[in-house]
Amino acid sequence: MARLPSERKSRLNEADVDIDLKPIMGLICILIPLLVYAFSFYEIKLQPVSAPKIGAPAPQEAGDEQKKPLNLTVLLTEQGFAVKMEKELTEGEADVNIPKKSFQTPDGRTVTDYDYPELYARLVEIKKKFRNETTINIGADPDVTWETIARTIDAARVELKEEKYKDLKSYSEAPEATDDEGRPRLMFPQVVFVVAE
Amino acid sequence: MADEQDIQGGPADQGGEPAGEGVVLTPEELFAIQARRRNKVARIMRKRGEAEWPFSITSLMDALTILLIFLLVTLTSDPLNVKQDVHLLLARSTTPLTPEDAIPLTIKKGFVSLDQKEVVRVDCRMAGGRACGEEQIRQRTYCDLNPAECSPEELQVLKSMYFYVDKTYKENGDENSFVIVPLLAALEEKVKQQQEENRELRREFKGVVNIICDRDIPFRLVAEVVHTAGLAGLSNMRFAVVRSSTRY
Repeated sequence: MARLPSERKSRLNEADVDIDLKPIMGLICILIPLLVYAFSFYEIKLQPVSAPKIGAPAPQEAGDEQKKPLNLTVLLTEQGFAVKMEKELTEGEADVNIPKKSFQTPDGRTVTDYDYPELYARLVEIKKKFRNETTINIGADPDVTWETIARTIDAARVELKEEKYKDLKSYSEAPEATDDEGRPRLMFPQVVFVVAE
Repeated sequence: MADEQDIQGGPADQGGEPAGEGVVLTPEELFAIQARRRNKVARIMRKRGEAEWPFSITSLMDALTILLIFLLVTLTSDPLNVKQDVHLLLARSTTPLTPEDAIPLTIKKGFVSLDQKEVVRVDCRMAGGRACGEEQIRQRTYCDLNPAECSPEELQVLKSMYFYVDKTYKENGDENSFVIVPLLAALEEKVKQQQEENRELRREFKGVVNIICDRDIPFRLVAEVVHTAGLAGLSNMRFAVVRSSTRY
């Protein structure tokens, strides 16, 4: 299709009109760093916990003898862990005290801290005896930090490949044991806070 | 229409008369025409005194727009959206449970907040009973993150920090009470609101609360918050932690 020479002059302008993207680019270049700043580069997960039991446990009704819970309780004190259970079910076994210990941390420092590998080993023994028990009560002195409680829950939640670990490093890096379907073998996943009033 | 004209009538770009309809160009001829057009545009821009862009901005725009959308979607779909800072460092754990939408309750060094609104002030005292200041809280966070750079004495002093809710906020002004009154009122209101929303949407109210707790908060304060939430009808509590592959 032929065009008049007068039309030809404006032809180039019509075809090459582009939107000026530079201001939009500027806006996007400001927005992206802002969003990256607000973005969290760590993976957040959740640790389920039940509401705390306060005071002495409720009295058992008659006929509940067979359903008596183990009442496995881990207390965190200034001295270390104290593991307690229902005396009737454990044939009068004494409470277990696990004192604090000096450790070489994975980053090379020496610290005195709660003996998590020993607590894990004790909990594995208890789980072997009471396979159906899934609840653990956790109590602590008022000034024990949430970080310490979270580590204690970690020690109780899932079974690891070995039953015992000799040091903090091997315990810390130990892989979780899995069942035939590849799911982690849980020990005491139901955590209840207990508070002495 | 102009493009169509160019492809079919190559001589038009050379300033000649357009060719007749139905002329098919070889790829080499087409490339030569496009190169001539680029030169022509560059010539015009030079005449106008504008510098020619050395690259196409459109493809860069596409990449940035995709990045922008990805960031927006990721940020808005995160039910917790935790921003860690000096007053809020999460504990680490190996738990695999992924966050779900629930009432967010935050316990920071400084205040307890419900759904981003500050409800109760959290005070801090050090060994000997003196109040700790902002600078000491900053130093504690720094030493938590870089323990090798703080002396054992300094670490011991900073570890003596104790965060608590003043007794004036507690039931009957009793220091030993586990009920934080303003928090209970705020939670009850929130629970009521959520129950109404769920009733309208015909959904079951699960009573779940996500507790975003700083790792240095003592067990006493955590237990008080958890007990208060339990009284408000929130029996399922989930603590936010940073997923870690190690246990220490």
